[in-house]
Order: sequence, then structure tokens, then C-alpha cells
Amino acid sequence: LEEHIVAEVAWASCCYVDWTGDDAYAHGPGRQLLVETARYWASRIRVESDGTAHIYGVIGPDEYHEPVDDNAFTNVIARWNLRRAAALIEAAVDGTVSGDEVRHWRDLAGALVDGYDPDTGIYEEFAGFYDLEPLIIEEVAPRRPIAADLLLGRQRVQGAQVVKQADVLMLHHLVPDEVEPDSLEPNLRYYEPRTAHGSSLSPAIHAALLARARDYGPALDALRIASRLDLDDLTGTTASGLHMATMGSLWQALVFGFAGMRPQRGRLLIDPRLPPSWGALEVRVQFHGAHVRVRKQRGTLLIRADAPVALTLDGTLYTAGPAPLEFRRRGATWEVVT
Amino acid sequence: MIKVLAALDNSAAARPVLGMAMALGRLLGAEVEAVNVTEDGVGTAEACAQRMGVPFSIISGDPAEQLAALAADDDVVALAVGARSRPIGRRPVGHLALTLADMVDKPLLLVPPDTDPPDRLHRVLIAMEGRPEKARTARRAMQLATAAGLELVVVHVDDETTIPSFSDQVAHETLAYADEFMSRYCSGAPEARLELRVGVPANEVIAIIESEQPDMIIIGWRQDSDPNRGLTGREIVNRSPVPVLLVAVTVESGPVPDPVLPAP
Repeated sequence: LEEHIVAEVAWASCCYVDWTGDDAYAHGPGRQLLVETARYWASRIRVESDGTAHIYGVIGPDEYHEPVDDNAFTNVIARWNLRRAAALIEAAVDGTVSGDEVRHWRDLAGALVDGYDPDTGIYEEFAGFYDLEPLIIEEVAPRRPIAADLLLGRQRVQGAQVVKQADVLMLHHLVPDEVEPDSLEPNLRYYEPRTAHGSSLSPAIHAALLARARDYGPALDALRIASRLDLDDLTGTTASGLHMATMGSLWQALVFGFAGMRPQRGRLLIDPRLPPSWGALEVRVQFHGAHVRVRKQRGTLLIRADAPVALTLDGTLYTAGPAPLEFRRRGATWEVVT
Repeated sequence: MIKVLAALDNSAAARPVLGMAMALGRLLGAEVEAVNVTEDGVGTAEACAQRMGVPFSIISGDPAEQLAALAADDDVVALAVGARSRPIGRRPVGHLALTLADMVDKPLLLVPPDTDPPDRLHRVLIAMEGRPEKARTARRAMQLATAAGLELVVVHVDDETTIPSFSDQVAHETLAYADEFMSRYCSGAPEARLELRVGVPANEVIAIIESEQPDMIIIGWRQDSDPNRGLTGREIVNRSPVPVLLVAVTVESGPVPDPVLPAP
């Protein structure tokens, strides 16, 4: 089963809390959801005699390979789920979850293997991925995106290093603080050429990640595919329904990827990327109830909000409000103008 | 009165060609006339036409040029010829048939000599290779076949150049794609059934012919002297065990405009 979805539901719940600051939800249904999903993982993880913890027999986001053991995405997002639940309970003890249980979650999270190799900076997608046929779909397919399972056959794809959609890389998109620092680019270089993008969700997520890596040409190519999916009926099935998840991923590509916006420790982190071919990028979001407008132009960044909003920019804390907060690029850092 | 022209040579193919021409004529509401332009005698061809009560005439000259000229008449809606002369001569399809395929812009029915023609056509396959745009090739044929109450099986084969970009949820997508495909390109054929395949188009089409056992298959035919183009159609013609109705497709401008087939 694609059990990673358990943690992704928890992630979505936390994402809602982090963007809205909805404490009533966070300490009500949100807390219950986080606790129960953590308990699920605690029941699912197996600890071997050497002390390492594993999740066997899952399907990762890369649906071309199933079942697999220790799928990096599943293990890391399960680890995130356990740690996030532990942090929530530790911050607000209410007697419903024992200290022993929370410590057990943290122990399991710390023992979970994730396939990361510090020498290469690459996560192995699952145990044994490197032993599969080294087939680089970028080189063998007539084009991408392509449904590689239809092109090569299900069995061949299952036995090869051909990835349907972002799997390891989905970690860098969803839980960037849970992966090793500076591991985006090596994993992007390794996995993107091996990815068929045979899921309509794949192009926008890669657009976001490529933008983060400042690889703007491929980022815009991928963004274009995602944005035209239903307009150009690229699947030949649009009449039966729009691809709403692709539209969601397109929004994520623009906000998380190009605008570099995400909540972090109660503040709104902003780290925009503007492709050379774009004159400006403007994003409007709500953060903790405030309407925030972020406009990035060549060399300048303008932020305003209709209520005070705590921001992080280049590691520095700011508070945005109705008066425009303007920054100018000075070398590698942003310098406040007003 | 519209008519189907049956080109009979003096071979074992004469009876199947005439029989299929008559079945096609019933479908189209057309009379059938038989003609012989070959120089190998007329005994078998003439006897066959007489036996089946079909007007028969003999003309002389280059067979391909003469038949093409006859087919160009406004009242001729289709031309039937033998795919080859003898049943044991399985492949390839005969020179006359291929020459006519590239010369005649009316539907051309190529009939294998071992065909056992039905009185009426019941099941017809329409093969659509590649991108759905090519499905327009046979839209008129579909409308006609549906009006005539035929069981219509549409075969669409994706090869590596047209294979879908995405396969999110195969079970859902296959049905959705089939519904959309039929709505767009087979709107005149609500009862038609779509067979979706992925693979080498000619192989897949022949496999479906063998499993479905149709009375006839309809394919688009690229009238192009370049031997490297239209290879799938040529391979189907060479290998098909059932009669093949070729619908001409121009090289640059898509399907030949109506009338490809008369209105039902």
C-alpha cells in the first residue's frame, strides 16, 4: 500500500495549522490526527537486532516499483510525522499521551534508516534501487513526460531505475527541513534524468525543485507542461474531469518553488527565485489571518501585509505590515530599503 | 445510380472479389459492375459475373490506368480488386493492387483470394494508427457503417511516438480516454467499440483481426510514393487475412474531402 499517504495527511493538517495559526484546530482535531498517525507508524516500524528501524513492503510515490523495503520517502516522512507529533505533545502535555510513548516515537524516528549516503549526497530511493537495471529514461525515451510503464512494459520498468514521479525529491518539496542540508541538487541531478514524469503530478513538483536549484530552463519547461495539462488536453481525458491535483501542484510550484514561501517556526520564510525571462513574480497569500503580498522583481523585493506578519528573509527576522517593506539585492543578501 | 466496380482477373480471386463487392454494394446501396482488363483470358471472370448476375465488360489497355480511369467516374463509389491472384501466394500484396492504392482516391477494397464473402457485412474493424487526429480518416466510414447496422470495432494503437505522457490511474484513464476518443472521433457511431492497444501498430491490428474475425477492415491509406512512409498500412495490407478497405489520405492535407463514401 502507499502508506506514505498516512503521513501526508498529517503533513496537510500541519500545513493548514502552520499557514493559518489555527490553535483551536491544532490542539483539537489536528492534535488527535497527529497522535494517531504517529501511533500508526510506531506500530508499523520494525526494529532489527542491530538497532536500525525499517518499514518493509510499501509503495512509494514512485509507483513503478512495488512493494519495496525502506522507501526513503516513506521512511523520512514517517520520521517527520513521529517527530512532529512528539514536539506537539512535549509542548503541551495534557496527559493523553505518556512520556514513554513520546520517547518511543523519538527513538524510532532516530533509528529509521533513510538510505542517505553522505559521500554522494544522494538518498537511495529504496533498499536495492541501485541494483536495478541502470536505465536512464531521459536517454532511452523518445520524449518526456512519458508513461514508461506503457513504453517499456510493467515488468521492465519494475526491474529498472526508472522513476514515475518525484519520490526522494518529494521530500525536498514537502519536508525540506527533514532532509540533509544541500542534498537537493545532488538528488535532483541523479533522479530527474531517471524520472519519466509519467504522473501528471510530476512536472509541477519538479518545476518547484528546479526553481529552488536555480535551474530555470528545465523549471520553466516543467511548469509549462503542468500549466497546459488541461488547457491542451495533454492526457486526452480532460472531458471526464479536470486534473485538480495538478492545479494544486502548480500553485505549490509557484508559491513553494519560485516564490520560496513556506512557514517555518511560526514565521513566513521567503526566498524567491525569479527566472531571467520573467519581469516579476507576485504572489498573494494569507498567513496567520493576514493578507500578504510578495512581489519580486529584478533586484528588488516588496512585501506588504494588512496586519503584522513575522517573516524570515536570509535568516533575518522582519515584521511586515501595511507599510511596504522593500528590499534590494546587495550581493548574496537582501538589504532593507524601507 | 452509384456503383461499386469489381475488377476481376481470370484467377481464383475473381469470385471473392465479386462477392465482397456485392456485400459492399449492399452496404452502400450501390449496384455492382464487373470489369476485366487483364490479358490472361476472361473465362473464369466472365463465368463468375454471369453466375452472380452482375453486368460484365472487358476493356483493354494498361490495367491500372484503365481501372483508375473507370474509378474516377462520379457514379463509382468504390473499387474492389484482388489482393493477389492465388491463395498460396500469401505475401506480398499484388503489384496491381498497390498501384491502384496510390492512384485511386475512391475507397479501394483489396480482397484476399481465400476470402469467403458474406452476403452482408456484419462486423467491420476500423484501424486508427497514431494520434487521434488521424481518426478523422474514417469518420465517414464510421457513420456509414453505423447507419447500416454494422458491428463496428475501432482499433487505436499507440506506438512509442504517440504513447500517452501520463498514466495516473490506468483503470480510470483507459475508460475516460476511450469515452473521449469515441465522442470526438466516432460521434456518428454510438455503438462502436474501442480497442486500445500499445505496441507495434501492424502487429496489434493483425492480432485484433485474428481475434475479432471481422468481415472487413478499414484503414487510412497514405498515397505517397515514398516507400518509407505509410509502412504500417502497407504491412497490414500485406498481412491481413480479411479484405482491407483503403480510404485515401493525402500527404499534406489530411483525408481526401467528401465524397469518400456516399452519404448513408
